[in-house]
Amino acid sequence: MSGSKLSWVEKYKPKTLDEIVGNDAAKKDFLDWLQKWDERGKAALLHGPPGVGKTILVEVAASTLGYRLIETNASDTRREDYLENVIKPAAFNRSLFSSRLMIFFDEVDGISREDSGALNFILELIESSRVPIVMAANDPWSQNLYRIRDRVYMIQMHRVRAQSMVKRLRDICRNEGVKCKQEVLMLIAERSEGDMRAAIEDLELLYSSHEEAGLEEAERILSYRNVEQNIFETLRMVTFASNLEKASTSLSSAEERPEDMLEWVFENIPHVSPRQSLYQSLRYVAEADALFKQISKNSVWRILPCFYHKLASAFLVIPQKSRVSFSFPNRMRERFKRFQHEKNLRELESFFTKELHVGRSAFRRDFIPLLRVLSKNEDFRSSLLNRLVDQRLKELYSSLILGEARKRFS
Amino acid sequence: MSVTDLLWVEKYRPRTLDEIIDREEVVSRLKSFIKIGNVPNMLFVGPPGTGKTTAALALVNDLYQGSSSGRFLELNASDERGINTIREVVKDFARSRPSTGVPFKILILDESDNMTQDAQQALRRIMERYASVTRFILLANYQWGIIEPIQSRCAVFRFPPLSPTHIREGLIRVLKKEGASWSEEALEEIIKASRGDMRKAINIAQSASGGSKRLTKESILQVVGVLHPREIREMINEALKGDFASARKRLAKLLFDDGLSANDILREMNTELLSVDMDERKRLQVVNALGEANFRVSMGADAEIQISTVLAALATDFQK
Repeated sequence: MSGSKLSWVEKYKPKTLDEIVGNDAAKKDFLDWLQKWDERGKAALLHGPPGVGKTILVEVAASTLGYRLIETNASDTRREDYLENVIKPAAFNRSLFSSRLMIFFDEVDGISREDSGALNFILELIESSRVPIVMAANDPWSQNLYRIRDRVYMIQMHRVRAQSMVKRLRDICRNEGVKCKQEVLMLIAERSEGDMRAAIEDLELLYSSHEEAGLEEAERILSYRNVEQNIFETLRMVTFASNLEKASTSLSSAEERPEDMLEWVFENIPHVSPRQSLYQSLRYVAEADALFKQISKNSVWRILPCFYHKLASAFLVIPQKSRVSFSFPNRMRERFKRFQHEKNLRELESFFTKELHVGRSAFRRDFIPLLRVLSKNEDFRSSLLNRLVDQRLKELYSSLILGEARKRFS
Repeated sequence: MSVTDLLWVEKYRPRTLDEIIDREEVVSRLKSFIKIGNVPNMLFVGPPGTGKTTAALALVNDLYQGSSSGRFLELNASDERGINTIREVVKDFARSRPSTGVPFKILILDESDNMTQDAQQALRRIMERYASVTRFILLANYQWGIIEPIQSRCAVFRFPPLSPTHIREGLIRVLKKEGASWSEEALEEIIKASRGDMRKAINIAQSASGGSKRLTKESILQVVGVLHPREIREMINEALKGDFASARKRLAKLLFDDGLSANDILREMNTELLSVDMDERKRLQVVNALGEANFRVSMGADAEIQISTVLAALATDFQK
């Protein structure tokens, strides 16, 4: 029992390369680089969003190839004595250590630009080190990394796809002996936005306390845990702001991306705005939406403040505001589900539109209802299914047209 | 075996220009192009089910005298990869000139008014650049959905809704070939429900015919509601009653579960909004909101957000 207190993230930390979910190309790339490394090979920089497995890839690759890893993070690099007394000797492999070494600077984009000492140290090290130097960063384009950027081999790591995540999450569930519904796993994977670590944390949170949490419960619990309190606070401030400046500033200084902020406002305006002002409010949201599309298309970010003004106006035109509870945007939650559904529809219709010489929207408008009616007839159904040679097409037809057991996520 | 012979609309689609009985003027103009062995870029405009695709395919068939494979392609313009796909296809066309006969190939672009303005600008450049090897036939529901510079480069053909007489003739032709029987009342119901849309008329007939192949008024009325979704009207009524939340839910269903295009929803709403019972001053506001939504969607804005404002307008009491 004593060992069972390990968090699931720790407990299921990958030990082999195969256990790292997703990013196959990056894994191979990094391993190749490492195997071919010689003293002129200098350094590599792994970059990608949080939780996609940058650190774990370095750790596992090191142990696989028999390197001993000297890890440092942003706070270590601030200590000059540490750099001089631990890192430097390691870089020149001075007798202190017997085995092969690799130096790893995690979170290099966290080193502040003012800390030129650390950055210069790393730059020098890249030029002269006799052991491989590896770095990891979320944002490789951050200003302070510009000198490092063109001296290293860059390897990009992507957000882990939700489907790959689900597989891993299911394995963990099986191992822990918890029953977890597919759609709950999907929800967790979707919400994590490609962050495997966050997904496993959510899974543990959900099932350490709730033996068999269903979808609704999961949504409730995770919305409290995952969503930053920040955004709710922002919405509250905007709702009760007394003037445009305050409201607009609250919106623009929140950490959400503008397009996500739009989602939050669109979701919550109907909760805040009574029927009498709803049209006015939503018009502002709609204008903000149209404006944002133009801003991002033409890269005119200098007019982004106008976008926030419009969003803020959606709240300011409300005559009487009542206390409300805000909710997580449904559209964000369902993004992946909708995407999958749309993908399936397209796969099915790419067959039919060619056969029937109709456009996509005509197929959906005129033929899906027709096929549904005609398929109620046993003969029609079986002769149609017989003509769909492809097994996949048959499945799609069954689930999308006949509405049989939905296999959206299998 | 293909699925096409299971569906009457496709099974009995006219294959040559001569088989098209209800578009005399269009057909005679198209035939004159064939006579001189050259066709211009063309824009076929009209509501669904009025024979645009049929005319385009028949033209291709007659032009290449039946051996049209490899010489024409149908693409759906509203695909978001659409414009790139089109560019690739046209490039391939340009590379492999047709060896004999007609010196160009034909690209049929369905639902081209679903393209964004930007995609249409790109399309216009493609049309110019490859004018020597490719002719475009653009199919659209609305002429104004196509940007002016493209319109001016095309010969425009109009396909207005078909007359009741034409629908009747078309229906009877199909029903006879299928060996179905019908009552006059049944025929009237179909013609009424089809609103000049031949595809709809034939689809209704097929779904109502059932195993017995016998069309009665009752069997028609049963399927009309299913084939012509009442959901948009229900959405409008919910909003009118002030139940914005339900209306918005229904909108999401139409857009995402059913996957209907924003254009189709907006068009249907437009029709419904003119007939639904409401204060005339309010109707002006609502129709105005619909116009704004329509415009912004065509500029690439989010359909759900934009159409929601129309629902909110419906839920508003403008008199106060």
